[in-house]
Formats: sequence, C-alpha cells, structure tokens
Amino acid sequence: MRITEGRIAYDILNSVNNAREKIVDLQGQLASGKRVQKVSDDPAASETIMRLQASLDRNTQYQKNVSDAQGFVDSASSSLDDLNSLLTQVQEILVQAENGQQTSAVVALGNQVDGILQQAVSIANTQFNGKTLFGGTQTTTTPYALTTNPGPPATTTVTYSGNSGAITYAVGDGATQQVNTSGADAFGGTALFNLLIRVRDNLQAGTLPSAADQAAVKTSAATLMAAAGKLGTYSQSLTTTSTHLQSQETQLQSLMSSTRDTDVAEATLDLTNRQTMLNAALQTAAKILPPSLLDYLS
Amino acid sequence: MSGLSLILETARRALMTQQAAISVTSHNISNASTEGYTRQRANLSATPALWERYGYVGTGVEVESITRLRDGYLDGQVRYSNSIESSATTQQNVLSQVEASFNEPSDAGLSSAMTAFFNSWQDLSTHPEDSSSRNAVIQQGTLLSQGFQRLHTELTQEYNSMNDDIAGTMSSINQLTSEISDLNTQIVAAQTTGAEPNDLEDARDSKLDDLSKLVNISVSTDTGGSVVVSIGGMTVVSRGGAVALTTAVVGGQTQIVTAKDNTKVNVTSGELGGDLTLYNTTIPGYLSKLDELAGALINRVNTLHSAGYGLGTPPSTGTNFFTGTTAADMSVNAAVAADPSLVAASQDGSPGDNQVALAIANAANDKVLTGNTMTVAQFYNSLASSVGSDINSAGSTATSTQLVLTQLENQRSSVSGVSLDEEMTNLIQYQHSYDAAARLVNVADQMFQTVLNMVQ
Repeated sequence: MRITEGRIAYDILNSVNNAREKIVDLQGQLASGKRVQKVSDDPAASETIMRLQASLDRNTQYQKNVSDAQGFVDSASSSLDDLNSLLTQVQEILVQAENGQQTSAVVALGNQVDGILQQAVSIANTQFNGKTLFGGTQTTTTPYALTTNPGPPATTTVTYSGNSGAITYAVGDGATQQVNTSGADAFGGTALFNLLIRVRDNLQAGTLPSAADQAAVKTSAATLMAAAGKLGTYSQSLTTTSTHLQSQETQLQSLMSSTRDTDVAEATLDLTNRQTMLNAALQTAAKILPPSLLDYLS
Repeated sequence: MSGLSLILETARRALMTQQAAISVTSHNISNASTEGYTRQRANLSATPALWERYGYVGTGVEVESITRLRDGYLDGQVRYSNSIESSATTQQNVLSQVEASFNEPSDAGLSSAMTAFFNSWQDLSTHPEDSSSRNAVIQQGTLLSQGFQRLHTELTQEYNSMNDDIAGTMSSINQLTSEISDLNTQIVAAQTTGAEPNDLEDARDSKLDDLSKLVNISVSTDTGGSVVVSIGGMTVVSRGGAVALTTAVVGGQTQIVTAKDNTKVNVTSGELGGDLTLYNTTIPGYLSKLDELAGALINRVNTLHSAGYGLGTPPSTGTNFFTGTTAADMSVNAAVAADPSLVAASQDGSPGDNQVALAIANAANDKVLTGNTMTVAQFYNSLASSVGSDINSAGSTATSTQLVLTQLENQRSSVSGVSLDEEMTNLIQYQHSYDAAARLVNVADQMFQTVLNMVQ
C-alpha cells in the first residue's frame, strides 16, 4: 500500500487525540470521584443511581419521621405515667377516707382530689411540638375543658373536644405507624375526669367514697395502663424501624458507591496506561515525521 | 525526415516531454497538503515511428495525457460513510445538549425535585397543623413546577434551534448543488477540447464530499462527463442543472421537497438526516413524554388533594394543588400558594389528620403511567436514561463509521494522495532524462558541426 505523508500526519494526530480524550475522561472521573457523571456515561447505571438516590432521600425522610414519632410517643407515654401516678394517689386518698376520718379531714381529702383533677386535666391537655397529645386528630383544639356552674349547688362539667382519630406516620415504603392514643382511648373520653369530679364532690360533701367509685378508679387506671401499653408497643416498633432504616441506609449507600463511584485503583492504572500510550504516540511522531527522501538529497 | 534532424527533433521532444512531466511533478509536490487534491500523472508514450528502408525508426516521446489517479468506487464508499457519520455525530452533539438539560444524575435534576416534593408531603403528614410544613409543600411544589417548566423550555429551545439548523443545512445543500452544476458545465466545456480538466474535477469531487456530509447522495457520471447527483432517488444535479430544495411541513412532520413541484425527497442520513430525525422524532418524543409525566403527576396529586380538607372553619375542600396539564404550564395553584391553609392534608377536616398528606406522599409509589405500570420516578428515570442510550447509540455509530472512514481515507490517499518520496524519485528520474536529452542536443550539434566542417 502506498503511504503518503498527509496520512501519516493524520494518523498520528488521530491517535494522539484519542489518547488525550480518554485521559481527560479518566482525569474527570478521578477528580470528581464519580464514574457516572452524566447519563450517557452509563445509562443503565444512571437509572440505578437515580433510583438509589430517591431511596436514600426517602430513607432520610423516614428516619426523620421516626424520630419525630418517637418524640410524640415518648411524650404521650410519660404523660400517661404521670396520670397513672395521680390515679394511684387518688386510690390512696380513698383508702385514707375509708379509714374513718373526721368530716373536716374528708373535706380536706376532697380538696386534694380537686388539685389532682386540675393536674390531670392539665396533663391531658399537654401539647407536643404544637400538637395536643390526646385530642385524636383534633390536634389544635385543647381537648379537655372544665366548666364550673355556680349553682347552687355548684357543679363541674368536663367536655372533650377531641376525637378518636388515629395519627399515623409513614415510616417506610408502604409502612405506617400509629403514634397517638386519643383521650377517647386512654381516658374513656370524659369518664376518668367525671369520676374524679364525682369523688371530689362526694369527699368535699363529707360523703365517704362508695365501693363502686373505688372500683371505677381501678378500672380507669387499667384503661390508662392499656393505652400506655399500646404506646409502649408503638415505641418498640419505632425503635426496630429506626434500626432497620439505618441498616437500609448503609446498604443503599454502599450500593450507591459501588454503582456511581470511581474505582480509584482501576482508573489510576488505566490512566497510567493511557499516558504511556500517549507518550508512545508522541515519540513515534517525533521519530517518523521528519525523515523523507528530501533529507538524503543534496 | 531522418538523420540528424530527426535526432535533434527527438531530443527536442524529449526535453519538452520531461519538462512537462517535471511540471506535473511540481504541481503534485505543491499540492501535497491540499485538501481534496488528487495526484496527477503525465502519461508518456512513444511517438509514431518512421519507416526507413532498414525498419521503423523511433521518433521520441510525447505526453499523451495528464490524468488524475482516482478510484471512483472508494469515492462512493467514502461519501456513503460520510453521510452516516455526520448524521450520527449531529445527533450525538445535539443530544448531549439535551442531556445537559436533564442534568442527571445530580442533586439538581427533576428526579431530586420529585423526591423532595413527595418528602415535603411526609413532613406535612407529621405536622399537618403547622403552617411552616404547608409553606414547605408549596415551595417544593413550586420548585418542582419550575423544574418541569425549565426542562420543557430548554428542550423547546433545542427543538426550535433544530429548525434553524435545518434551514442552514438546506441552504448549504442548495449552494453546493448549484456549484456542482456550474462545475459540470465547465468540465463538459473543457472536455470538448479533448483535455482532462483535472483540477476542476478535483474541485467537483471535493464539493461532492462536502455534500455527502450534509445529506445522503449517490453519484454517477453520464457519458458527457457530467456527474448526476441524486438524494434518495431524486435527481438533484444533472447536466440540466441543479434542483433547488426546500422544506415543507406535512402532517406535522418536516419534509424536504423540491422547490419547483413539492415532490418529497427521501433524506435518510447526513447532517440533514440527523437534524430531521431529531426534529421530527427524537426531541418531540422527549417533550411528549415529559408532558405525559407532568400530566400524570398533576392529575394524581390533584385527585388526592381535592378530596382532602385544608384548615380553616369550615375546612376548605375540593381545591386543586396544581394548575396546568403539561410540563409547560404546570404550576402550584395560585390560590393555594397565597393561602397555605388551603393545602389539604386531612381526609375529614380535623387539623391533626394527615391521611391525605400521607396519600400524596405515597403517590410517589403509585403506578400511574404507561398503563398503570410505572411510577412517576420510574417513568422519569427511564426517560432520562433513554437520552443517554440515544447518545450512546449515535456515538457508537459515529465511532464505528469513523473507523471505517479512516480506513477508506487511507485507501483513498493510497491511490490519490501525493507521496513526496515518490514525487522526488520521479523528479530525479525526469531530471536525468532531461539531462540526457540535453546531451543529445549537444551530440546532434557536434554532428552538425562535423558535417558542416566537412563541407568547408
């Protein structure tokens, strides 16, 4: 085959260009640490990367939801604990009252129960992060309100403005977790507070508590504990979910890294290779371009 | 004529012939680096002999013709590959810009915006009573709409610039065909004198090569020496002249037609072919998918949203979150943007209920596209990666055709290229012949002297 000067120059230029192009590409990969920088670098991997990134973003969101849920559940749990210890106090007061006190002492116990009632209502109205804990999904309205009618005889009524709605948080793809227990669940709506009002009124009137009232206090405490138990289950489940989400995040990140990131060792080796090839091309060019018959003619 | 005069005449012919050959060689050397130059050769032949009593006596040498060394078959191959290569390269270049508009995979693409939008609904679901979560939902919705609009605008700009490209390519094609037609006329005229207008033919071949980069052509030569150029079977250059081409829109598709009688010209490759594919098929395809995606997203979110309740007394309901139906006009409902309490998170009007917010957050996983088989993210990811695949397939066609072209160009240069080594060798050869012929004149001169001296 006849080889002409023009082609030699073209071929050398071509191979130098090719080598440079690949070197720039590899340098880009090494500098950014990313093997896939645009979709055309690897369309299939890009699709995976986008999917993994979305999963990672969602995972972060779920973890945020879970920690938010934990706060809510913990706060509700501790409120129920407080209420439970108030009920224990009421039980003690009832025992004291039964043990044959003077009327004035019974009235004093009634006053104590009044204090407990006020505290209980205040606890039941607790807010967490701008939400009432026990109002169901009526989270912006104070759930319990005590109203005193001057009488005579003076009477106290309690109203519940919440509902029995469940608040659920998303804690995974297609997974939700209830985080609340409503006043309807935990306190039997207004039952607990009506009971406290009745007990107080009786004691303040010097009437000794009936056996039925004593039993009712126990029942209320049991309802309360059942609700607290449910919250405990929620909390446990949230902890498990949180652990699961964290390990999922680790897995996703390692997958992401193996799909997207540059294999530094491989890329470096490849780069060295390419540079050697470029040098070879340049050296060849330097050697073969000058000589022609003209050099030997005088 | 014989004897001494014949020797002198033969020497004269030799001198002139070697001179002509050297002048062809020098033309070759001068054009060693000229693009499209075909090496020429002086074809020497012996002049007719004279009959003498003792036999035929040679009368010397003459230049019979000066011809180009060119392989028409290789030209055809190169032009075919040119068309394929430039079609693929055009598509690769334009699609790379489209790819840059998609800007994936990154934190700034639509994929991230969609995830952020759905995540903001989850945030709202944990704080449905909170106005800052509502504002965040509106903000993410606005960012998402802007993302769709931006991508739509950039693709549309790309689409419109293709129109300009097509017009530009068309005018280049018309220019080239009329130049080729002019060269045809000049070449035919020159050939009537019996000589080969080599450099005009080079110019015409060069233009044909240029034309083959713009559009798929096939070339043949008629008996008179004119080239006949046709595009997809339609003759555009012949001895009769060039046929001007123009564009026409038929059934929403831009076509190339003859300016005179609107006959369709079948353009399949070349830069124009690449442009047409992009303009008629590829980019509108991306745009319609983008619109389909935006439409499905808007529809799904609005369906869920309008069934829910916002805040306020009585709680608002029946509100659409988005307005618009395509990527171009998608936007957050202005009423919602102005009043965050209209954002519907609740299914029953109680402010702490978050079922609708959860459902909208979950719409990320709802299969609402391609016959309810794909989620919005899946659909978008496959759209974005199809751009990458399209680039790669155009790129690999370009690369493999470039390899073929390099090979063909090597072969063509092997036939037609100027080799300086060869020209120098020829030069020396012709120079020596010239020297020898001059010597012959000298000898003949001395012989004449001898004869004349005899007479004295």
